[in-house]
Formats: sequence, structure tokens, C-alpha cells
Amino acid sequence: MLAPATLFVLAFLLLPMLVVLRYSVNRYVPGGLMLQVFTLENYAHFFRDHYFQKVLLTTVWVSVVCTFVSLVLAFPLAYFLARTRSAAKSMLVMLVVFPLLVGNVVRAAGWMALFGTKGVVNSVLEALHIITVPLNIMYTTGAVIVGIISIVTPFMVLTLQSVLEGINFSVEEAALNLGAAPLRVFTKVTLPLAMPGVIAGTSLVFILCMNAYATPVLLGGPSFQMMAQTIYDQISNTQNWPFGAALAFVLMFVTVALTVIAQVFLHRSYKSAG
Amino acid sequence: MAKVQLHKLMKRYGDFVAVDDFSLDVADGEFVALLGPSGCGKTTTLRMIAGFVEATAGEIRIGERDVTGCPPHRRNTGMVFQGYALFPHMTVFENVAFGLRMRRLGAAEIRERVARALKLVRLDGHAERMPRQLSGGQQQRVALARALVVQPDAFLLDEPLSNLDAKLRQEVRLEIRQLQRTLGLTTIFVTHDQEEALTMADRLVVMDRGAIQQVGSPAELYDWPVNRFVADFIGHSNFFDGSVCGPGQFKTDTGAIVKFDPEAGTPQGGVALAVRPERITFGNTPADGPMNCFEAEIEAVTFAGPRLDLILRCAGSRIVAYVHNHDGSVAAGKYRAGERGFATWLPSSARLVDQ
Amino acid sequence: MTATDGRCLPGSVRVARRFHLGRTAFHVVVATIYGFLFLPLIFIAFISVFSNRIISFPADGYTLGWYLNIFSQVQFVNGFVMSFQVALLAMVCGCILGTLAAIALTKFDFRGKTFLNTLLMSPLIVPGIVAGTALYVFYVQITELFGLRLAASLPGLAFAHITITIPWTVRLVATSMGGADRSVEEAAMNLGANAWTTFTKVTLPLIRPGIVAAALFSFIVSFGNLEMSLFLVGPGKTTLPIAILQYLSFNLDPTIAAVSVVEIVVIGVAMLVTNRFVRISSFV
Repeated sequence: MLAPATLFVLAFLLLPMLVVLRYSVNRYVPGGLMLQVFTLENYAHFFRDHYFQKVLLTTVWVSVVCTFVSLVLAFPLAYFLARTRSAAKSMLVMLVVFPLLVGNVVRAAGWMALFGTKGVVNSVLEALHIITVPLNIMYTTGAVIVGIISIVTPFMVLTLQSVLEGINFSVEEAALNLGAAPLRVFTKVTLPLAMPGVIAGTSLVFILCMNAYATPVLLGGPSFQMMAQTIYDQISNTQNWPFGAALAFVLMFVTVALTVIAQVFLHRSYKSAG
Repeated sequence: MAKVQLHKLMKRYGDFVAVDDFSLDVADGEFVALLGPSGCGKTTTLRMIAGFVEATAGEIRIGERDVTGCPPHRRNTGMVFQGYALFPHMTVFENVAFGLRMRRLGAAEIRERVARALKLVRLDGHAERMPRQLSGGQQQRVALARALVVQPDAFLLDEPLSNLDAKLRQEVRLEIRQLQRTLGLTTIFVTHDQEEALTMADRLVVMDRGAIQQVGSPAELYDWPVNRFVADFIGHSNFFDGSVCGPGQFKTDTGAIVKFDPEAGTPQGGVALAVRPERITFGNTPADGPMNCFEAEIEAVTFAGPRLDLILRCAGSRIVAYVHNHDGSVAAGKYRAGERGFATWLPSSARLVDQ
Repeated sequence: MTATDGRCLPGSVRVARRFHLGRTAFHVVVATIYGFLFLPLIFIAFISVFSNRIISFPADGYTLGWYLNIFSQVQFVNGFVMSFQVALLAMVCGCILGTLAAIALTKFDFRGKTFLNTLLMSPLIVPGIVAGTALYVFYVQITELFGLRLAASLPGLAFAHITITIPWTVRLVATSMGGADRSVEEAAMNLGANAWTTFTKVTLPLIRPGIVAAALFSFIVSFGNLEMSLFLVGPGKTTLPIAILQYLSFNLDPTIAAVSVVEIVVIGVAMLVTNRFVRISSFV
């Protein structure tokens, strides 16, 4: 019974991944077929070329900022959802899930409507006489960051919520009862107990940010590059498959490495806080 | 420790009144139990005292302080929660030290006071354990130590024994009572278990549907319940519906005349007559004189260990009488269903109660 | 409240007010974050009824005409049809594969169960763009070796989408298996039903809500997928999200907004229907 699904995943995910891994050590011949060799030159290429390193660096710092901000935004919402005894709770959770399911392209379109030269933000600011010349919001890093944050925040909310649900509310009451002011209850009790959720949520969201495609393409414009776009260009436009494959594995490796480092760090700080 | 005064306390959620017109003075060092079925408002009352629930109206005073509008962390109460609510990410030591750290005491004093508190609950040597490594009983004692170490003005317990098994519960009851006496703790204890309340408290407050039904010592409540709810909730009672038809005379709806002690006063409103099952004796010979005596037939017999419950058809009602298992003879089939005889009880065992 | 103890009371009243203020502020913060999440959706719906072709605020007027205009845009009609076909295929196949696997995973104990479970979840973990790249390269390889063309074809896209629906179907059906009372199955067998009858008459009806939810969720996941499909589409063989993406790269106008609203509605309806069978909040 397990075989069909397992074989399917093996055939259409893992096997292709292995093929790409193999491709990443082939030699690229411009305009011709690649050579079946074993070379690390594609990876070396990445480490020599400052352009690609800059793309990776941009991807990393944008992801870090987005992850952090989405954590800050998601926590109150997740806390509210975990604690509310409202009859509309299921509805309120659905309201978080819904934008997530709608997909990033449509949401990016929404931000385009807001950020354009004649978009909502500029129109409102002009109407209020705060600005006379429209601001350049579209095709900036800021626009990309806002867009990505709105994409990933629902994931963060849902991850945090599931952990916060598991925390006994009376533990917070016990802390209050013992004289801890609300802020201290949060730092000494709620946050340490929510740490598994924080770790899981930031890991998931960081991975999503690192792989963001539609948002940077639509809101960042042609001059703004993140890794997923670059990989797409290498495969689709430049037709340099070995290098594109190498970039894909560099992206995966860096993402996993940074996630693991962050997890270890968060675990430590959580232990010492407890 | 300090006295606790509740004056006309009320809590309303929308249209639902959870607690209404609740006034109670708890003396310094007194142990009061709030007793009632679930949903009667006892926990809401306790949570209002702790500050987790804001009173809609009324006043709460702890000692000389009006704390009605005080947030929970400024009230200096020590609460033991139903599920203990230990901090799962802290050691036993850190759990107990938490309140002291919030009060910004020095490290040395914290260490000394935590050690003393843990010794008090016989948990010295467990200070570095995590809560999940402890048994239910031990966790409960950590919760006690954590609440007591801050020297609270009022000691609040919310069904602290409900998660323990029956044997352990007996032990912990005694332990809490002893702690309370030695430390002179002003204690408010919430429970739905009447036996717990009867055996532990100085005074009981019986609540139903948000309102106080009766306040008194365990013996007062058991022997002189003011209404049918109290008579039924504390221990068991047989009830005869009817009305008073003369001095010390009660006529049941089925037409029987039951005598009662007129000294006990007559309640207002609809009345019923309550008789405790252990006051009723069943035998072959009729009693004479002032005793109440009715022909009765055994409908069913239930063996309950220390006693035997006889379900009797008597004076047109079905009543229960207890027979104590003094010598083991009751188990040997001394009473059988279908047997006829007489049920007798003293007029002073019959209580007039409000409906 | 009567002022009796002058020193404590005013302070405590002030604190109580601050508490109320705090709670209100918290609710305002929560509402604002909801607003932030919905802002793009609200505005895309808003501009879809603008009468002016070039978007500028405020609108010159309002019209529903752009929704009719969608039908003259062949790439969106084709994209919608393509996405719908792929999503249906992914839904049916993903559901069958996922249900079988979920039943095996919950009913039997065997070595390597955790490993297999992780493997089945892996399509969730591998980044879409990487998986898409890999699948594209793999398809090209297959074409080279066997002459079978999978890239830019319906089956090729469907295979990709089935892979990403498997983790969801397994999870959903396994959850409903876990929630179902197993003693009911034992009762059926005790009453003389054999293993097959027990499965079809008792187990399957019990987990039907889970399967229905899995089906609808697969549909949603497939219909909205972008990253994995990017490489697997071709001229005339494009999914709706990619058609929207391509159009958006050039301009944003009420037509594309209307198309987006259609996608929002499709997904919203699928989600509401799903929620009738399984509470979405209980498994995401």
C-alpha cells in the first residue's frame, strides 16, 4: 500500500534531484551539449564570481529581515488565536490560512497596486499633501521585503499557534500570581515555553524566504536578484544547466546550514534563559 | 497573613451572572472551603480574589488593602492551581524561587527561603529535578511550596487534590490542613468534593448557581441545612414533600404525618422535610411514643462496604436507610428485598428545609 | 467602588484602566496584522472594478466589464483550463496514493516506518524552485533517452503536482485515521465482518471526511502552485498562476486584477467546502 506513493516520490523528486546533482559537476559548453565529466568548476565559479555571491548575500539578508519581522508580527496574532475563546476562532484561523492558499502571485499583484507610482500609497500621500512627487516604492528592496513578509507571516502564525495552544494558560496565571508583571510573564514564562514554536517557525519561514521567486520578480524588478530567480535564469535563459544545478545546491546547502546554526543558537539562548 | 473580606461581589458575562451578591469575611488564619457543583461560581469567586477575573461589582479587601482594581501580580496571594501549573522549563528550585525573584530578594535569602519551603513539603533533595520528573503528589507539593514561600496574605487553592488518586488525596488533605494550622494561613479552598470540604475546612460556603446557599461549620451544615440543595449536596438526605400542618407536625403529599422538632424554627416558602439515611433504623418491631414509625418494605439492598444501603418503600415515598456493618452480619443476607418491617427515626432527626 | 484606603485605591484603579487599555491595544495590534495580511487581496479586488485601464487612484469610475474581458484573453482561459485539469488529476491520483500510504502508515508497524514517513513528507521540504529545476532536467533526460516528451505537457505537470499533494493527503488521512475510534473496527470484526468488509463498510466511511478534505486540499495546493511548475510549462501550455505572473511582469491592469479575483474565488470556495468536511484549523 505504501509502495505507489513511495515510488512516486522517489521517481519524481529524489531521482531528479540526484540527476541534477550529477549535472552540477558536468562541464558547460556554451552553445553546445554539456560534457559528462566530474568537475567542481561550477561550484568554483560561484565562489569566484562576486555577482553571484552578492545575489546570495542579498537573498540571505532579505530572508533574515523578513524572518525576524514576520516573527514579530506573527507572535501577537498567534498568541491571540491560541488564547481566544471566541466562537469565531475557527473562522479567524481560516482568515490566516486563506491568503496563504491564494498563492504569492496574486498577493504580489495586490502589493503592486499599492506600491505603483499611481498606486494607493502614493495617491494617499499626495492627497494628504505629504508629498508632491510620487515616491519610488515599486522595484525597491523595501517593496520585496514587505511582499515576502506578507507571504510568509501566515506560516509563522500557524506554527507558533500550534505550540502556544499547548502551553497551559494557568502557568501564566501562576507567574502573575507570584508577582510577575505581564512583561516579565512574557519573557520568563511564555517566550521560553514558546521557543520550540519560535525555532520551528523561523526555520520554516527562513527556508521559504530563501526560495522566494514570484515576489522578488514582481516587486523587485529586473535589477533586483535573489537566488531562485538567478537559478531560473541560468536554467531557462542562459541554458547553463550545470551552473544552474550547482546554484540550486549552493542555495539548499546555505539554507540548511544557516537554519541549523540558527537552531543551535536559539536552543542555547533558550536554555540559558530558562 | 491577613483577613480577606468580600463585599457584594458580582461577576457577569454578558447576560450570564456567574457570581451574584457574594459577601464573606474570612478571618485571619481561617480555612474556608467554597463548595458546590461545577458551574456554581466557586472558581470564578476564587479567581476574582486572585485577580484573574475582574469583578463586575463589589469589593475585595485583603488585610487592610482594597485590591478590587489591583492586577493579579500586585495582590500577594499564593495560589495552588488545579493542574499545579508548574513552570515546565524550570527546575523545582527555580519554580519555588520564581516569586522571590519577582520580589527582587537577594540570592542568599532566596536560597535559604526556598530550601526552607522545600523542607516544609518534604522535597529537600529534589531541588534540581524538573517538574516532569516528579510524581503527581510531588508536583503538588512543589506547587504548595511555590505558593507559600512568598508569604502570601491569602492562600488560595483551586481543587488542588482533583488530580491525585484516592489514597494520596487522604494524605495530602491532612498535610495541607497541618501546614495551614502551623503557618496560620488564611486559606480559601475551592472544591466540588463535599468530603474534602467537610474534613478540611473550619467553615464551608455552599454555592449554587452563582449564589451562596449557606455558610457555616461542617457540623452546622450537615445537621442544620437551610434548604433542600444544601441538605442534598452535603451528605445524602431523604426528602418528604408536603407542608406543616401543626406544631411539630408535617403532612406529606402522600398523606402521612411526620413529626419534627418545632424548636428548629420554620423556614419561609415552600418546605420539605429532610431525614439523613443514617438516622433511620429498620427493624421488625414498631417503636412507640414520640418516635416517627412507619411500615416499610425493602425494595433493594446495596452492599457498600462499611455499611448497607436499604432502599425502602415507606409512607408513600421511597427512602434510603443505612445499616452499619458492625460485625459482618449484614453481608450474610440479614436483609432481603421484599422483607417487611418498620422504619423509625426521632423527630429531632427530621429537618424542615426550604425547597 | 468606594474610596476607603486612600493610598492603594487610586493606584489600583489606574492600573485596572491600564490593563483595559492594554487589552484594547492588543486587539488593535491583532486587527492591524490581519489587515496587513489582507491588504493585497483587498486592493486587487478593488482595482478589478476600476473603469480606467491605466491604474491610478482614485478610480475614474467603476465597472464589472473587465471580468468579461478575461474571456477574450486566451492565455488566461487556457491557463485556467490547464490548471483545472492538472489540479483534478493531481487531486485524484494524489488522493489515492496518499490514502493508501496513510492507511498503511497508521495500521501497521514495520521497520523504517519513520524513514518512509519522512520520505513522503519530503516534497514539502525541498524548495519548489529546486524541485522544479530537478524535474525539468529529469524530463529532458527522459526525452533524450526514451523520446518521451514530459516537459510542457499535461502529464508532466500532473506528475509534479501529484508529488506535492502526497504529503498533504498522507497527513490529512492519517490524522483522520488517528481520530477514528478503532474499537468500532474491532466491533465489526467481532460481529463477523471479514477484513475487507470491515475496511469498506467501517473504516472507509469513518475516514471519508479526511479523504474529502485531502482531495480538496490537493486541488488547492496544485491549483495555486507556481515555483515547481515554472520550468514545466511551455507556450500554450501554461498554468493560471504562471499566466498571471507573465502578464504581471509587463503590466498591472484591471484585467489581471479580475483574473486574480477569479483565482481567489476558486480557492476560497474550495477552502470553504473543505472546511465543511474537516476543520481546516485543526490540521494546518
